[in-house]
Amino acid sequence: MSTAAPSSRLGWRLLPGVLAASAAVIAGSLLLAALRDNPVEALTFGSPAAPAAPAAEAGAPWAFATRPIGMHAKLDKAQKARFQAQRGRVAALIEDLVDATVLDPGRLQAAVRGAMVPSAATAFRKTVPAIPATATDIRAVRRSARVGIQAPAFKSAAVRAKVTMRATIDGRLTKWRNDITFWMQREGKTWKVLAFDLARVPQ
Amino acid sequence: MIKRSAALVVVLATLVMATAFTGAPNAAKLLVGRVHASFQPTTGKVYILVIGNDARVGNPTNSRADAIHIMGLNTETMRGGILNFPRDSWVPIPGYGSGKINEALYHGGPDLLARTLENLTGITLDYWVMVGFQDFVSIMRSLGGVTMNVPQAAYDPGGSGARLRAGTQHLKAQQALAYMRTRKAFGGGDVTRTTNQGRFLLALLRKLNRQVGHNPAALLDWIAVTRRYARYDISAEEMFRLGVVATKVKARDIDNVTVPVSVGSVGAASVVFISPSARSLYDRLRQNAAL
Repeated sequence: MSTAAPSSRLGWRLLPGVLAASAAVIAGSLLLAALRDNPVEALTFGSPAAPAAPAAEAGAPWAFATRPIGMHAKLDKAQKARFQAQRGRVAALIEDLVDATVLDPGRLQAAVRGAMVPSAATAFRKTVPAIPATATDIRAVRRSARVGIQAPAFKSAAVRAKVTMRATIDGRLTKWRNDITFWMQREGKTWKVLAFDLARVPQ
Repeated sequence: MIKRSAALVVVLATLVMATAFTGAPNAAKLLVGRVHASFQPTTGKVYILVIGNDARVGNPTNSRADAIHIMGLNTETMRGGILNFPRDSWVPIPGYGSGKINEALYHGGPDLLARTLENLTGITLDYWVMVGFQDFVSIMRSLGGVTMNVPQAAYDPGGSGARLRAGTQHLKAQQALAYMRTRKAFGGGDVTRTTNQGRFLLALLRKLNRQVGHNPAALLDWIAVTRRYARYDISAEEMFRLGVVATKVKARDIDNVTVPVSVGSVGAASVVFISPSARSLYDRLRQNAAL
């Protein structure tokens, strides 16, 4: 809700396309970096999110569809309990990270810090697009995520989060959707994102 | 660091096959192995030896390699290359003089085949992955086959069982195996076959990318499928990471090249001799992990 980092209108219009085209490339570099354990110099596409960018209202509740993947048979009781535990952790992380990304850029730094491996975090910060300074009445109209967690170890997960946004920009109602894919792994109780894809799709 | 766990097909399908198998090779299984225990992909380049062996019911062990490919992947440029070796290539085999390259598998398993290729190409291989006939079919069945372009009709009912028209089509498990095996249907024989195997790998990669693009959790499904038919010595975490890398690589950015050869014979054996010009391919793959 605070004021704004400068962002040109042209840049804003071009941003979705640029992001969509480059997200896969970025994610590839990230991945690499994650594989190497060495932070890699991340590429920058689009406008990095500014700490002072306007925040938005979370107008819609989160809807998670989570399922275990990789088991032929049904989960036994113990596995179900482990799945439930990890499902909650993954959901909490996704909710926090995605909300910071698309709704509250001022919180992005902190959200990313603990949630991603360093190389992915560096690139993610530089990749997340800014919301134009002139945008008002920014609101999430739909937030959903499909989550797959690998059974029975529950140590890897793939997430596709979609957040549809609405805002008034220069007097015009504008809608777009953020599609974010996270590849995650768990160390102990902590899940970390090791790679991502990010695209902003005009609606 | 290396743990026995799960996830082989990811690799196969993704082309980023990887893993280390330190036990005795079981030729009837899809195996993934790490060639050098110290491997860390610090250079941004990954090399995987892909082996298809002729293990089947009635011949579960002592198999020879029917498919031999080095896959390079440059994780910085996200480009790659598949270098195909005809199985009858006459090469030096460490400890065994010279012989057909597919004999290296018989003499010393994937490790010896990897060493043979390392000596030949100067490329340090990171992983190997191996699959036999039966498990290939099981994996393909579970994955639902693959759609690919077959550039040349293949009719070989008495040999591989291939009955394929030219053009884009969906190959079911048995058809896929027949396509991977058939050589008599082509004038180019084994050379055409090995090129076709590279095409098949790329078709698998396209399928993985398509499915993951729709739903990223599909990668976990692929890993699970391989777990059912594979043994490997790589951690699930590492396999997952390699699988994710594979989902980022586009098949169109991977070149599929067969080493240039000339036909000849050694004694009574019909062999092919790899042309000295192949050296430039080795150099390119070593320097760029792409062709």
